[in-house]
Amino acid sequence: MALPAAPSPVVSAEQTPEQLAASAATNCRLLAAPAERTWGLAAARAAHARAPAARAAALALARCAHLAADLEKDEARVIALAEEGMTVLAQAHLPPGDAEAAYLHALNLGLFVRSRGMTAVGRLGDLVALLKVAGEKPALDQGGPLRVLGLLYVKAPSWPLGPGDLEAAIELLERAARDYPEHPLNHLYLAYALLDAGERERAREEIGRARELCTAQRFGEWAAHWRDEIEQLLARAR
Amino acid sequence: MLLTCGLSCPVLAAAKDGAVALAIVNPGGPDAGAEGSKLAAELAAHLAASAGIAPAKLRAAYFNQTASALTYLKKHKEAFVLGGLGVFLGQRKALKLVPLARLVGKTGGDEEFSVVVRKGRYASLQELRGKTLLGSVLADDARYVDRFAFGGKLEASKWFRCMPSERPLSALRKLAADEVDAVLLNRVQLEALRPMPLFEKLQVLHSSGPVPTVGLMMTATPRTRALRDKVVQAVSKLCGAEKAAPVCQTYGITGFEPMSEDALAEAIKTYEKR
Repeated sequence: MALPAAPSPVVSAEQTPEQLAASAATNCRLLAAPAERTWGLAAARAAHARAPAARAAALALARCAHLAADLEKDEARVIALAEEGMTVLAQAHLPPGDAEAAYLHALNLGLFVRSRGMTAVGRLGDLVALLKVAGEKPALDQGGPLRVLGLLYVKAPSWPLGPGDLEAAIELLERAARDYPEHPLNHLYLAYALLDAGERERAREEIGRARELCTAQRFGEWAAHWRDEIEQLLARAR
Repeated sequence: MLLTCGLSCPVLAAAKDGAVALAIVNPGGPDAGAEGSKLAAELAAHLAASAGIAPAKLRAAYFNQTASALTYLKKHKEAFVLGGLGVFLGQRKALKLVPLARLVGKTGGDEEFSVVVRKGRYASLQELRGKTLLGSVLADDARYVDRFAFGGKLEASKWFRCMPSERPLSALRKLAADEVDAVLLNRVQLEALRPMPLFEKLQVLHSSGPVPTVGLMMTATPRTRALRDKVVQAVSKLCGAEKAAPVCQTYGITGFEPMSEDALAEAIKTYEKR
């Protein structure tokens, strides 16, 4: 139920949690208009409030909260949204092997760690564990679990202080770029790893691929953010 | 005027010139990029708040190469430096460094270096002559490595084919795969390696024995001397603070213990002995 114009974030009392969760899942996507995503978040909150243990409602709210947090500039709001996304998944008591839940938990935890900085570095181990579970479904978001874990391995403090592991990162990111070549972040994150490994030429090639794939037609508002990141990395790779 | 000015006048005069530096110098450590700079900035902000220094007056910078740290510290002469004994001994005279606090980790208050090889491959350092030696420790001051990791019995750069590596785990994987001959590890690295399946293929060939450590030092200027007590106190409390405790835990640091300026006199003698 994608809404064509700016809808009011008011949720009908007659809608079932399943209907609300399905509507939220439809509206919380990269190509949706900001108002659609706002509506999606409200619908997901309503679905979860009515059925806190329902998997679909928890997943929808975790997804909507992550998308809202990802574009949010206010750090306190980012933390609040990411915590909301993680809390609802905990409240749903999903099995620990639920790959999609683990992936959405990891996305929210990733934003939480990024925003909290040094006070959250101790959570990197949790993040790795979640992403390993999520890796059972590598097709989520076109290689999402592979590229997020790969990037974490690039950016985290390396052994023995943290989970950082450049070789493991390159392996995961090469797989993501090979199996899901249409997602620009798979190429961009591989470029980060290659650059750290001193493979500048290959890194530039991957940045070029990321640039070609990163269009607003396919990725909406996110394309502009990713393009900024692509240009920054290209400057480092020159 | 002289009476009212007292010790604080040089501080006030120098304060007009800008911030005091907090340089984190970790030769052979990870190239932390933007994340490392952010972490360093957060650490400086926390220490400044704890020491009662205006946040803008303590500017952090992270370096994983001594040369770039030196360039920075020659421009920012008023500095507190978080770094190890190699940095202290190697730059003590050039930067007028004074030790302030010792870093205490889970494995104690001293350091130890170990050369690790594949099981049964080599029996002594003598047999490793001309062979490849990898390790992040090799990016530290060369004389320090010779005198403390090898007890002054050999010059590592002449004895081995040294290959400083930012990634010790990668070096150990190469060692297990028979692609290199030996890896030089510090104590934290060796303790992390012991429980790993990788260690089953490896053995310790040489241990340095205990090596003294330092964690915090300063360039001796009137301004750093004036701030010294506040900064040492803030650093000593660092790992007990709610905000910084997770960082200490992540980096295996239990805390910092204040030390006297002459606490490293013996280490200086060992380093400078002809």
